[in-house]
Amino acid sequence: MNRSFKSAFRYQVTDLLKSTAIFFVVMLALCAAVIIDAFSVSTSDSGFKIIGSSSFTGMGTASAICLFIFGITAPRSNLRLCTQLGVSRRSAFLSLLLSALAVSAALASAGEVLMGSLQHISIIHVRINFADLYQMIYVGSTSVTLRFAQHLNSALLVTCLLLCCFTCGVFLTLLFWRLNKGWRIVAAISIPFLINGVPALLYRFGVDMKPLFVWLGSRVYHLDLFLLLLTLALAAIEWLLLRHAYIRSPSSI
Amino acid sequence: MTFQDERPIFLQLSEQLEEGILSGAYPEESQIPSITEFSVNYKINPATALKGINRLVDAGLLYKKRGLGMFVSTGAREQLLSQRRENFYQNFVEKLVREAKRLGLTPGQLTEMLKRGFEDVD
Amino acid sequence: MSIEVKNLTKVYGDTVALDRVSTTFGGDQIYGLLGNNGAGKTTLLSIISDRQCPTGGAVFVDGEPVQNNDSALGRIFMVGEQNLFPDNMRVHKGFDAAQLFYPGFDRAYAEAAAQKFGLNTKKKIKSLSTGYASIFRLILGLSVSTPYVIFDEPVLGLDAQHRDMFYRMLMERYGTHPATFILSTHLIAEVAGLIGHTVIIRGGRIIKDAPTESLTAEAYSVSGPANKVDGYLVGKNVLSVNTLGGLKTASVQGQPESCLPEGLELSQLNLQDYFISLMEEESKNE
Repeated sequence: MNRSFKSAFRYQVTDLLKSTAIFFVVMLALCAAVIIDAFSVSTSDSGFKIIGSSSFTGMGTASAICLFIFGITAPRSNLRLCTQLGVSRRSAFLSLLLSALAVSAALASAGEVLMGSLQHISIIHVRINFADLYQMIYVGSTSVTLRFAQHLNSALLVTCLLLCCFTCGVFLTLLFWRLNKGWRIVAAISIPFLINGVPALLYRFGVDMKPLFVWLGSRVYHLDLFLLLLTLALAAIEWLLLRHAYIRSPSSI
Repeated sequence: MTFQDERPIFLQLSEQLEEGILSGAYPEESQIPSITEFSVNYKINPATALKGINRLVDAGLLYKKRGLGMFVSTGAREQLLSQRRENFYQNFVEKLVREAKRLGLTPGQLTEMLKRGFEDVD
Repeated sequence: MSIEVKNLTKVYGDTVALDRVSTTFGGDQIYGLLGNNGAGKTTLLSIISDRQCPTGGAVFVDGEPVQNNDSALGRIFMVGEQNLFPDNMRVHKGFDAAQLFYPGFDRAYAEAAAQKFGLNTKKKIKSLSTGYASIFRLILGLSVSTPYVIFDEPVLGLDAQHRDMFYRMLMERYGTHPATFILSTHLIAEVAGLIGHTVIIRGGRIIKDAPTESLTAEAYSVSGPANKVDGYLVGKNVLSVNTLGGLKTASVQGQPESCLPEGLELSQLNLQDYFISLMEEESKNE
């Protein structure tokens, strides 16, 4: 890690963390709203009581969308700045991914701490369930509280997911950058087709995707591995797209 | 000072320095501006400024004090004056006479004009 | 210690933007890179700073290839025509970023320069006018203290006063922090005195690469009555001719005789006139 790389990493991590912090504050507010929303009053012959229930399982998903959006907005802006300030495009690219990894881990951990502490809430008779992806997929019940080891697994899963979503965003943005106008239209049309059409086609040709999903669902580490491999594959393609790019200002796409 | 384009800049700078020595703007044993100051003021490359200065160093009109800069040599003014007196004939007299002949002036008329000039001009 | 450009070629489809260009920049000199629009100046400079990849050939900074090389790239700062800073970044944050990436960045100098030019450091970089956007970038170039600094059309949009300020600040900085500067510009007359070495590029090829003095010394201008000039020009390498009524002026390559024929006036070509004459001669040959 040379000086340029370190500077690029520091800058990008700081930049991403600022935006992530804003996101996290919004999520805190959302959780508070969920808690408040859980309470309702019921009136009956024996008087009124406070009842209600609520659940929130969207932390991981929301974070994933957030990182996906960062993946779309961060690369070109950061690559340009790095180029102006004497950083090679290879270091700029690697530091981009590394800072995304750092931020993914930070956000996943923060989210896990938040969910973990909120899980234990049970106010009066009102039951509020806070859970996340790992719990839903691999534990099966959103009303139990997790053990510490399970929390670690959950944080690890979300980290992999966030990094993968970021990389997907980077892929889309680089793709549209490097393709010329005609190919861009082709890509814009074909992506929704592929997302919807490929599974249908596979089914038509009798390719059974079930074993894959069974495997993925059997252990969380399988899903972690799948996400990481997908991330690496996308990163490799992104580097190929980036290698010979002409780095200049937005007005000249 | 602006540079006319006809002659090399370093030469024009030398001559400006010579004028400064003659007029007393750069007194003997005083320091002249540094190379950087010349290059900033006249927007010229320092190498050009150095060339102009070195021309005067070679002629003995300036000398270098280690660590301080360039100074005007003692007797530089006198040296320049006598140099210019020698060149006066070629630089001024020949041109004057050529022009006078072109205008059809006699030597007598020219001398009268010169005498008048010494009185009028201060 | 130099930037070496070796056989650099850049092809876009049918266009050859650079054709086996080779040259060296070094020795803490001030270089002028001159050429018409589309000659290849920006292409050459953007390949040197690894913003673009060449089709052939390579660039070496102090012996190391520049591509994907942080240590080589860290030694060059390129003041380009384009803004590569993020949309929402303010000027003073831009200085912060420069300080982070370049240990040698002279923040105090940059702030003082901003004040001198009247640049409001609280403004967003994107919202600066063309002139002030240029000023922001050129201040970075002057403050960054790298061994090589490239200015590609640094005074775009600057008024005469600011251009004058820039040239003076450049010479001052060059005096206090010697480095190799490459100045690419259309305003030849303004920089003629500053540049010690001139590189002229045309149609993707370098046609002149010599100390500025020797270039202007290798040609001269002669003027006088048209018929006398015509007679004189016989057998000479004429770069360009200009006629106004009976008065003819010609630029001639070579050295004048010590004694010109009667009625003819001799004068030295300034760099801009030399450049224009050279371009006229080149287009005749094409």
